[in-house]
Amino acid sequence: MIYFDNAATTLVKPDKVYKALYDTAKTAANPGRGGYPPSMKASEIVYSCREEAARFFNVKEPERVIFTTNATHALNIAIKGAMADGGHAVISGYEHNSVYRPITAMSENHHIYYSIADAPLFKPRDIIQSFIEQINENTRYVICNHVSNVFGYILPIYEIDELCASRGIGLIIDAAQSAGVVKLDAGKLKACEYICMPGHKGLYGPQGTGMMICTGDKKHQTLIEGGTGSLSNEAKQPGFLPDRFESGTLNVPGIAGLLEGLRFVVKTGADKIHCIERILTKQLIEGLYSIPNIEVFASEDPALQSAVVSFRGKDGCEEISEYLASEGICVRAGLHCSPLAHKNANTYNTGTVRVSFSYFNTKKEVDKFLHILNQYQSKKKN
Amino acid sequence: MCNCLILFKSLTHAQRASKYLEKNGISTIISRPPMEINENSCGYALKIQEHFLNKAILMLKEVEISNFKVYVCTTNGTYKERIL
Repeated sequence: MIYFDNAATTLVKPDKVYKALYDTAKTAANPGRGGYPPSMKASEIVYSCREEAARFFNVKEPERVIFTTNATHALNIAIKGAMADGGHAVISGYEHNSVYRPITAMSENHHIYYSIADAPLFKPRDIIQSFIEQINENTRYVICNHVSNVFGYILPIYEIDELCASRGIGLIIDAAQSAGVVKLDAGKLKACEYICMPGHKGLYGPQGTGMMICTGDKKHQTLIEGGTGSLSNEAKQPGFLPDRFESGTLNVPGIAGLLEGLRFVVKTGADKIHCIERILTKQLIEGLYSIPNIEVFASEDPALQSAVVSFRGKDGCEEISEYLASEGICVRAGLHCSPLAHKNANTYNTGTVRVSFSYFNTKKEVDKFLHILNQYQSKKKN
Repeated sequence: MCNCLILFKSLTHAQRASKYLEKNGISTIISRPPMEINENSCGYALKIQEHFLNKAILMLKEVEISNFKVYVCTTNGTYKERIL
């Protein structure tokens, strides 16, 4: 099997991730709920993961790392907390439904409204201009992904942050496709208040893990309240991090796996991972351009293109993906939960086939994929 | 012998303080404090030897960790808060 759906989840993980999951499930109890060894062991694992993540994203205090169940969970905490007092938000025209749906739900039920900063694919100047045009005197937050989950388009996140800082607006970053792959230095961000990410994609942790990094200091409303193992005598939710946003028992086996995933990324080097994925992406894009009747949505500029590439053929995307699956190749077809991105790229009516790499993919796999796709296209032609 | 407690409301804050002190040569043990000083709030404490206490407090404040209380064990086995 060739697995090219790493934008959904990295299926192949470092061996230590699986081992950590198993060992932790067998030996670690509930963190912060006791002073006995299995509880303290769980606490150690959780804290080590906070420390590793804080170092990786250049955040000074480990308590700013909040564990969630996935990126969508983190985005819901951030968006619903930050926008709880109303006002206007601007989202990019490349947002996933993990941003689009919460902000739409809020606009229907609360006193908030939002605008969309549309712009053509791979035109970073245009999207900055679009943000400038959409921001108004009531704008409180910009919500933007770092990398499009459909096209692998790397958005100019530092420039967007700079724009927000110059206007006194907060920024929420969806780092679902960039965390672990495209460098994001929280220490360089000025307006950003939350960075939201999954643990199970580029950070190679297990599914059911995610993180929200609180880079801001505002005490926003919580999404859920409950037991934190602290201030148990008080009815009010603790105000301090991480307890404010972490109620209920954490996914300790998952966090242990995420810790090993993070250690793998750090040990291997995010730059090296990015470089290997870049080689595969270049090979893929060049190969796709040589196949008849395939339309590729990609940039040759590595500063704009991550290891997620979309294409479409004359046949429907689902048909292509089904054929590839029958040949043992896993890719995703359709809208990829991102209707806005497809509207901006004029692919809304057809969707696209998406190929996405991880560190564990090889050039040989890309060759085989291109060969099989070429075969399919040739058969269709005849 | 550990005869002082640095009490934190949050386990994560206690862990951060403990790691920082360990890194700088001061050993601590993270533990659950007695109810009499914990105000029923499920906090965590760092057990630390008294002769390291002042140095530890200064070091923690230098890195802006200041959300703690300090208790010293008395001769009758109870703890008395040291006002900072």
